Amino acid sequence: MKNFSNRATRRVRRLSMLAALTGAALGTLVTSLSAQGTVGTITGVVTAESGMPVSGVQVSIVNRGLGAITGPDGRYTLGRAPAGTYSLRAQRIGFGPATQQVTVTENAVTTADFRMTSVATTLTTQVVVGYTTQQRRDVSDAVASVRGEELRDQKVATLEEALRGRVPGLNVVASGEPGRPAQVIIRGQNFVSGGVSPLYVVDGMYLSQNPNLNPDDIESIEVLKDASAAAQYGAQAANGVIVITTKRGVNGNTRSEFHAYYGSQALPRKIPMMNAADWAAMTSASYAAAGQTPPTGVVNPTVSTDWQDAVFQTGNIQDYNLSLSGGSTAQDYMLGTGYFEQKGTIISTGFKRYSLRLNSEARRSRFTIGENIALSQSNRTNLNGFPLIDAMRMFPTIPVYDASNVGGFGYGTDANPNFGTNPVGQQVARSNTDKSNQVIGTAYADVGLIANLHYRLNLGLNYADNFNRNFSSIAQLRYRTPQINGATLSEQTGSLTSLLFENLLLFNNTFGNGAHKLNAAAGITSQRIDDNELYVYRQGFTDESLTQIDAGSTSNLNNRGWLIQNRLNAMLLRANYTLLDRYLFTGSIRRDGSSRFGPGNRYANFGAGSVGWVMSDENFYKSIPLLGTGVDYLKIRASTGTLGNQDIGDYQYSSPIIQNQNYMFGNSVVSGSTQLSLANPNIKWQSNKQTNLGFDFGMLGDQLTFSADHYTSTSEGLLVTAPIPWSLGSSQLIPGYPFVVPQNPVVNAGSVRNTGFEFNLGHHLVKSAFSLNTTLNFTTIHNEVRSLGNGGQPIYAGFSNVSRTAVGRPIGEFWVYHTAGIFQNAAEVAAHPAQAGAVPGDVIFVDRNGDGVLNDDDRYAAGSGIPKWTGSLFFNGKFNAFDFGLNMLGVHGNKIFNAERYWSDRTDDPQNHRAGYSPWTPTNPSTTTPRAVFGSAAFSNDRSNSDRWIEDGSYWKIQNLVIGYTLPASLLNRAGVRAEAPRIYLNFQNLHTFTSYTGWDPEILGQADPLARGIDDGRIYPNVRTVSFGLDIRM
Amino acid sequence: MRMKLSRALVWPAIVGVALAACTQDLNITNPNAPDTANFWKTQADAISGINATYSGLEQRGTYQRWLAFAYDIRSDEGMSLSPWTELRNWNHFDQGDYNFEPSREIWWHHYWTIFRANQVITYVPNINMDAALRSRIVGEAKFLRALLYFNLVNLYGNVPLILAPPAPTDRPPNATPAEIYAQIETDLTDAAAVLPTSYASTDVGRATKGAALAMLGKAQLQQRKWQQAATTLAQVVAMPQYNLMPNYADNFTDKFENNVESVFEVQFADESQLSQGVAGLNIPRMVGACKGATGVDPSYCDGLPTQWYFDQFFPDPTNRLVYDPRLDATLFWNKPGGEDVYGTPYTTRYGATSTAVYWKKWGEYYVIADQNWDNPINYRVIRFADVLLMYAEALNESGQTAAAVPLIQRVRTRAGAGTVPAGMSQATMRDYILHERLMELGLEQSRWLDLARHDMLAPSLASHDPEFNGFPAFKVLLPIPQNEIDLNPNMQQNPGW
Repeated sequence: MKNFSNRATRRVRRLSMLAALTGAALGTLVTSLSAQGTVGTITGVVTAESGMPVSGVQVSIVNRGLGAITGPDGRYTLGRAPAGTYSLRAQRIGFGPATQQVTVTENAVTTADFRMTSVATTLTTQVVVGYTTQQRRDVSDAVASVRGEELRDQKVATLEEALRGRVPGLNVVASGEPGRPAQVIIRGQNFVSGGVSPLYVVDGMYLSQNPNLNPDDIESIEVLKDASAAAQYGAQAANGVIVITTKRGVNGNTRSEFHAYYGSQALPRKIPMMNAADWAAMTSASYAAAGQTPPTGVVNPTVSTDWQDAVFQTGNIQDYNLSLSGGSTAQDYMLGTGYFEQKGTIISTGFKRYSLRLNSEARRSRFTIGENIALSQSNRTNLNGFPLIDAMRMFPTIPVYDASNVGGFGYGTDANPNFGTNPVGQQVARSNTDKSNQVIGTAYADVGLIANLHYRLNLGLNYADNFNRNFSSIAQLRYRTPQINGATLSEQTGSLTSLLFENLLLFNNTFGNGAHKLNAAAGITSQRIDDNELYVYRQGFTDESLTQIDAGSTSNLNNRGWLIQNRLNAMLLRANYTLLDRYLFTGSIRRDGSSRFGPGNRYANFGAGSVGWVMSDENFYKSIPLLGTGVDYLKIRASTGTLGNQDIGDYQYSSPIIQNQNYMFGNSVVSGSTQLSLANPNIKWQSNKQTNLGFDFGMLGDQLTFSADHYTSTSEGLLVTAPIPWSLGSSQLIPGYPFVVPQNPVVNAGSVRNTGFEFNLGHHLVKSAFSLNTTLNFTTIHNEVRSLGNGGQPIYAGFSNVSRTAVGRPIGEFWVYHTAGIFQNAAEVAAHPAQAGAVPGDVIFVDRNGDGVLNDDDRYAAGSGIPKWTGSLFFNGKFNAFDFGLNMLGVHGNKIFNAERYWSDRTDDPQNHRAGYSPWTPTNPSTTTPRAVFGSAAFSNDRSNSDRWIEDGSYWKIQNLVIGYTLPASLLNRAGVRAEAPRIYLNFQNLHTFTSYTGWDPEILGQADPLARGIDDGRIYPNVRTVSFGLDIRM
Repeated sequence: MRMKLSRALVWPAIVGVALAACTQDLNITNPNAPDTANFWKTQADAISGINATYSGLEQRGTYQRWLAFAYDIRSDEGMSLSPWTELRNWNHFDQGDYNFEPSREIWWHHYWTIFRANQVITYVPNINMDAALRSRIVGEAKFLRALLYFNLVNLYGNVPLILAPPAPTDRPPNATPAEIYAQIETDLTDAAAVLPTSYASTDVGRATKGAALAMLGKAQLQQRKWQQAATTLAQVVAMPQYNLMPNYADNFTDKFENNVESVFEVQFADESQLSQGVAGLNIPRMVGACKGATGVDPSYCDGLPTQWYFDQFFPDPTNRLVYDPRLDATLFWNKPGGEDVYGTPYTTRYGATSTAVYWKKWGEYYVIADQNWDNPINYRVIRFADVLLMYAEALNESGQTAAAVPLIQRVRTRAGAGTVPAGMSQATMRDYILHERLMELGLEQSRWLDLARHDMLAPSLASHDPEFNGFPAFKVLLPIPQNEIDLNPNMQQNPGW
């Protein structure tokens, strides 16, 4: 054994020599120093508090640039040390620096041993990289971590909120809608159909959707960004992986914690709209310009409604958490309960969550069993329709309530012809609620087999039932659109059961006196997902106090039920090997099979690897000018690998025969069935090739840290529901609706590449009673479609098909007509022959291809909804009993298609307009706003797919500002409670947004269509401003 | 030692069992519906498949809604003052969005139904089943495919000709109208050869030999193959089961459906049957009587008759007492003696001096005070009266003007519209037949085709329908939906668009 270790050490030394050569050019200083004066030798052993030798310690002569590094036995030898007395310092990340005076005599050996004290730094924290756990300093993959304590002082309602701005390369787009998950995108957009959501792994359980966890339960979050980190999740990892570890009890007395906050929420911005008098004047003018008589309601307005005031309200948010935890050497436990409630800022929306968590573990000799289980119930009252567009479209002359209408809501009339839907009625008379009970958990058993080899059985469960109820009362909400079927009710109930079954062999050991660290996991894992749903629909509820299914009419009832099944099998192997603490190697391979593909295409292999080099641990490092003395810690990383994706829905490789395509013969219904949709039987796994290059450094004893990464991610064989020509005749039913829409089969088509840089700069300052942490994150995104299937034909999506995905361009670029101001006079009109029939005051469109005709071929790329860069700047600190935090974040270089402004600025169709909307007239020669004219004459001015509605979407937000004060401990102690000092705080969220965007909020989730990002389509829920007050007590 | 032995056995056993449990079958088939691998195998599948093809006729873009706009409201018998700006513009031939709803849905629903017909035509011949039934079903599918392509070629011109279920990767090119018409004629000739002349009561409504021949005659007529059309239509006229209903108005209610005059009808269902996968007719809800001052709102009022069309019913427009009796089944107007419009007197709704006219045909004004979205009245695609008039036209254009007279007289006599003047020239007769078709076939999707067939779609129509002001020749065809051009490199947009 000893022999082996010696041989290994020798080999390792040779290796380190090799590595040293690469830095040889920088190392010439060593030679020059050795030639001068009289010299001696310093040697010694560096040990930790435990007496164990510590390798990789830099021992250097202060201010001389001379040094050595300890080997696996903790010994260093500093030859050719100049004679004299000076300070000798030992330094290693994870330990506090130690200094002693030494006196070196010529040609003598001086011994100087060090005993070092370990300190917690970010580099020594444990990082859960999926199936294996490593120290931060040993990680060669691109993994970002967020610790629970970082979130502790700044309360957030959701997991996504917790991640926001903290991790370079992770983009969160949120909305103010209570209970609606934000969109989380890691490193650009990898594919153009299916979800963009990463895989969530909570305590080992795989979840394809955001798990709606109570943020208070989170111990740590690891974001696995590159292929090497994520490849262990192979087939489901193409969008990155977020690994979440929940809190556990720790050895010691029972601890209890209570956290509570209450806040008020409001919309930060209201868009000033015209009042009835201003609107009537402008609308009369636009009818007159068209030679038409305005409707009577326009001439004599009787009411002046502010529809925004009617739709928006002051909301609130409250959150209470109580937990008990404790443990001994034999067991630990954590029991937490929480209640969260949010009342929305749009009327009749809200969210409630009750949660309960139990994490415990029992250990006896080589056996460990435990579980992490979270139970929750959520109740959500949903947003209906497009209330914000309606709030802009509805005339101020229409009252919110009108007792003479069925249901009592105001809407357009012949006198006020308006086809908006009463947004208040939409929320009040249409009730749409979701209720869900969820269990997410894992149970595990771990047995130590031999020599640090463990067998682990991991069983995961995600059970979620759901109950959606959608009741529409008889109320009429839109001009000439009575609720013809009477009151209607639909209910959908179902349950999703996802089971994970894993057999793992885990190995973690250090050999050769610490020269070799090997940490490996091998396993077989399978997943079984069943989703069983029932849907019922009734109409004709005559008595609206009876709103259960049985009270409805049996005519035109609709009952449906279906089962979705998905099965996945996988084998995986992952290993991290660290040599001499400075050469880092990681490799993963995984073979996956999925029932979502046809026979012959079900299995695929994925693999990745990374290497890292902690250059600062090299002997020669100290002698590198500037770097060696200035930067204490320097690691260089590189990784490459392939990930997969199967997120296409089930049964896509075959075409179903759709029943109920019935007809009448001889006055009786006869049944018909046929194939409606086309399928591609040959679809197979999408693969995603990624490479990552990066480095980390630490300066000033870990006070200043910096990381930089460059990534390239190229997906091939994208699983795309690429549109096909309508003439192929492919269609599909929309479940729950009587109508059919075009269907596009999934194909493996095309390729998308994302590249970018990520930077993270951290500064940690402690000066007795004052501490300040500063974090700056910066990410660039470059997204390019490299090829598309279907002969490379572009894919159009979004409002008015303004988003175009085409080869050589970013996903979902805006593709619109080019406007160039307003015709001021007849001469200008005459100079634009492509716009025959235009008159002064009309919008000038550019005939870009110069063919004399203005048509769809003249559209151009007017920017995209994907930011060019995103950034964040966080400060948090303490001063005596006060603590504070300030989080700011921003995006830059993205455009927004403002569909709300399209609705409010168009004059061809009756709408309300923004206050101050000032159309062109001969005496008001506007260069941006065309003349007001009603009807078809205004048609081209109000063309929906033009760049008139595109705005800069850049913004910078003060996301969070928190000020806390820790009360004297004596306060509670005096009351007889033995507690740590309680903390109170005031928290401002979304305090201010700096932007030139004219809509409600430049942060747009919209309908979250990945092909149509950045469209403010009115189905939005602006982010809210929250002012909350909270209390933390720990006992 | 004993303990060690048991451990040595137990652990591998547990691990082995655990590993075995991990591998599950990935062969999951869709439990919610059969798929193409186990359909098109039996006689029942063939019947089900052809029924689903007929079902395609009840979609908005086929006979439920939009064809009435394309063929009637756009023509000079109709106009639009719809509050829906884009729809109004579409009827004025002003279309910025080539994917606009009616343009798009007519395209969609025709091709969706063609896909269904193509499945039947491709798969049913291989089914082991009753041979006669098999050829009848294939014949029905060919009839339907021809009917759908007839609409497409007339509305969009150079459409792709798809004759089998496509692969998702297919990008079919434009076909010429001549190629499309050739296929229409082939399909209808094949269909006429195998379809029965009539059906047992439970199958009434399926395509017959008479329907196939009438459609073939109509296709030939539209191509101005006058003599061939005459030959084909003569066969239908000679078929003993066809006659005119005694009362003209009985062709437009749900009381006398599939009658002796029906050559082919789309079988619509009433509202109570919607949950059974069938649909009703929307045309009267879209283009029927407007609300006026009082009463219920029977229609969205998206399409109206032109004043000119109304005037055509009067030999002397200054005398409102003498008119073609078919007016009373076609339009609501301020009739001397009064008339109810959906349960409310015309004058109460629109005022005593109103001159407004509204579409009445296809409405359920005779049973209800409101107009349901889904109306059970079967839409008559071809009536025997139309066959007689088409035959008359084919004869006149072939130089047999005198032979046309008794055919027209038969139609006019049934309507109580008087005698056909004798001794007309071919040109006078041409105008007379066109006028007769206006009287007989208002809101029956004929006028646009009549104008197109006689090259009359031109700005000159603006003298009586201002929507045709400056009508450029290329607008005889709709633009092919932009989506089709964007997604198919082999497709060209219609010239001018």
